[in-house]
Amino acid sequence: MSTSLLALLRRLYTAITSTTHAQKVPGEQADSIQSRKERLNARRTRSKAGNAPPEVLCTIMMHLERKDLMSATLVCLEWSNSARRKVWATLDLVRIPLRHRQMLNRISDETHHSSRLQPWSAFAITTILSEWFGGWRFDTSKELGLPTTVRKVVLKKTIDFNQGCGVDDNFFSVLGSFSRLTELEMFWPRSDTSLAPRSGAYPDPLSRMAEMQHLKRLTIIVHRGLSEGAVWVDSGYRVQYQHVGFKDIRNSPLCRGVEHLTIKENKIDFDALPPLRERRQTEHDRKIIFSGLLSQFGNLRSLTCGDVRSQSPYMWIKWTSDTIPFIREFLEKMNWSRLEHLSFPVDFTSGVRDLARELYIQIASQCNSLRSLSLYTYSYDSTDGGEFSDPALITFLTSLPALEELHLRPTASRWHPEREFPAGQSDLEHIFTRHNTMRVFSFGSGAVFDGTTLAALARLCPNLTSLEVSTINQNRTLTATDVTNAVARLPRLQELKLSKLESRWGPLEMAHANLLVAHPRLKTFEYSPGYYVSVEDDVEEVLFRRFGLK
Amino acid sequence: VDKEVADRSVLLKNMLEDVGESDKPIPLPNVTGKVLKKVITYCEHHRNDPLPQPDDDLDDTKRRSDDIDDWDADFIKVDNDQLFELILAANYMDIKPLLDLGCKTVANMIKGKTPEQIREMFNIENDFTPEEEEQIRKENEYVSLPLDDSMMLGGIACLLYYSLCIANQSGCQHYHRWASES
Repeated sequence: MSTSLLALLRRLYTAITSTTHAQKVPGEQADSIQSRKERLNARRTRSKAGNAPPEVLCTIMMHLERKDLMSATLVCLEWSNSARRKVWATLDLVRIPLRHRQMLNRISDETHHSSRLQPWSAFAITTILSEWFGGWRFDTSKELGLPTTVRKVVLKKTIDFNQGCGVDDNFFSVLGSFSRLTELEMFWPRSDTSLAPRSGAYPDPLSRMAEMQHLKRLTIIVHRGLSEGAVWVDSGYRVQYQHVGFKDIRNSPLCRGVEHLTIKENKIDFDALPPLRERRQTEHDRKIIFSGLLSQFGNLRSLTCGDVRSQSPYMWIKWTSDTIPFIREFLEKMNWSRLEHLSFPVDFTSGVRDLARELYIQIASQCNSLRSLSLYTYSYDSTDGGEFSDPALITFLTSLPALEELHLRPTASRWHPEREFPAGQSDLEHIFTRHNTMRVFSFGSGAVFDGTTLAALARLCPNLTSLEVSTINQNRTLTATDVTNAVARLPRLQELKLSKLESRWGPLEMAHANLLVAHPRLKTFEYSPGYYVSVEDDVEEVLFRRFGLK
Repeated sequence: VDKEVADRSVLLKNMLEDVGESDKPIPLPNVTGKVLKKVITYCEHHRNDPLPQPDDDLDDTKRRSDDIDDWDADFIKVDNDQLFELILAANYMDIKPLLDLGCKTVANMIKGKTPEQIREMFNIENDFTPEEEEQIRKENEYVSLPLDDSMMLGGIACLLYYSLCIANQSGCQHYHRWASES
């Protein structure tokens, strides 16, 4: 027992002494600790650079050119997936021979050995153009060889409505093969191309597209001025037409998925219009668009009806009394709560004014996340209610808590003569005070904006980065000095556009040009004065040198 | 820290809105004190800059990596470890301009380097299997082959035509010189 105790004590002594020796750090062991520390640091750094989240890697890749991206694809797995995604995005597929594109697919398809590398088709953002050429054609020279890689189908710029509106079953059958489509631009099919009833064969785009679960952006172009109606005369006979509108597909994958919806109208080609007796009213179109189309999309973040900022913002010229039930139905059914961007025209004729006010109240009470609003208000009566400052409109404009961007195109000719806001503010001043963090503002097509309003805007909204003023009526005064004074108060302004300013706009002189040129952040200056105002050559030269050709 | 400075971070801005006027502390578990100090320095310097917009990424000018101003360039002169810590903090705190600055700096460091040099610079482990590496090399081979045979033939034809033009022009010059001398 004593022997075993002795052995135990010996072992204990050895253990203690060996520990003590280890605590004495000789030079080589110190090096080893140092190198271990370095290795640990290196591993920590590696874990940061090598395992950075995809959004960080994507931001890094965004700043790389092709050659460096190719190198990044071979660094490590995480980097590779981000870099390959970017390589794909910069690919000009037209320049890659078809057999190579097919080869890429084959590589992608045959990748059984690794599920960690994302397949090429997962990066696909292929855009293809559709055109009418005796039938619908899809330009597939830019696709990878598989319909599933197509993400966007947009219309060829040169296409005209009379061709494009021939949307038929063939169009939808081809479209159906692009099963992962995220963006689609298409014409609203016109049933009256041949002026013959086609109720049986009339394609309903919504129901044909109901299963498109990946579609996020949908643009529909409708025809203005020529639409289907209940009755028309064909070769001397009265023809009864049975309306076929949108089917109710409210809970379909399409209606749940689309977040950005745009309804545009084509430009009218008056030469292409049929004789007056064959033109029909557009109420039916309004009905199917308001109550049949718009209100079905339950998750819209962006709704654009017409291009309010363009030179021809018209959309559904009149809201007639016949239209009221459709718009009311639309107001009740539409889900406004997720909307962040709204571009909409509002008719303010006395007959439908209450409905316009209902629209304002509805949006104001539900659109808490609206960041951008473009509003075209028209048909103010000259005798009654022709003021911009309708209480419902002002309440609406001041009640949007998240508004950053405001574009107003009112055709109103005057202010409300009696109403004043606190501190004697005008309507617009009241709106500017409420939205003093606004970044983007534009105003046009009206006679209620002038130098005083501009000065108030610059004083109350100093964070503006973009300002556009256009089509100011000749009865209002807005001078070049008003503009330069306002610009001087807007240190963050990057974009200034002045167009179609009428005769009271004074000439833009060298002093004004110098003030604009001296602005530290102004990048864009676009200027197109009215017919009676010219700019001296030397002033133009100074502006050209600073801002380029505009 | 001023609210104006804290608002540069979308994460903090949202948290401050949620907390309201109360004095509740706001936890930032993923950011060390040292990095946070650096982040605050950046936000204080840029407190008056316009806030970035969601569609800024669509702007091609924002994709340049050579437009870093002097103060930012000096600010971001840190070791690689700290650089990635700053980037990750900016990403976590949602400070887009700082994230862009860090990522542009990394992009500038990557330019002209081979995959091996990039790995070495940032201590990244090569975690590819040989098959995966082979697959990527194949992909790159096809993607970096932009010229079709017909295009190549066209290029050769252009080159021949150009050579003929030069030869012709030089021949003419010889002829003119000979003619004028005789």
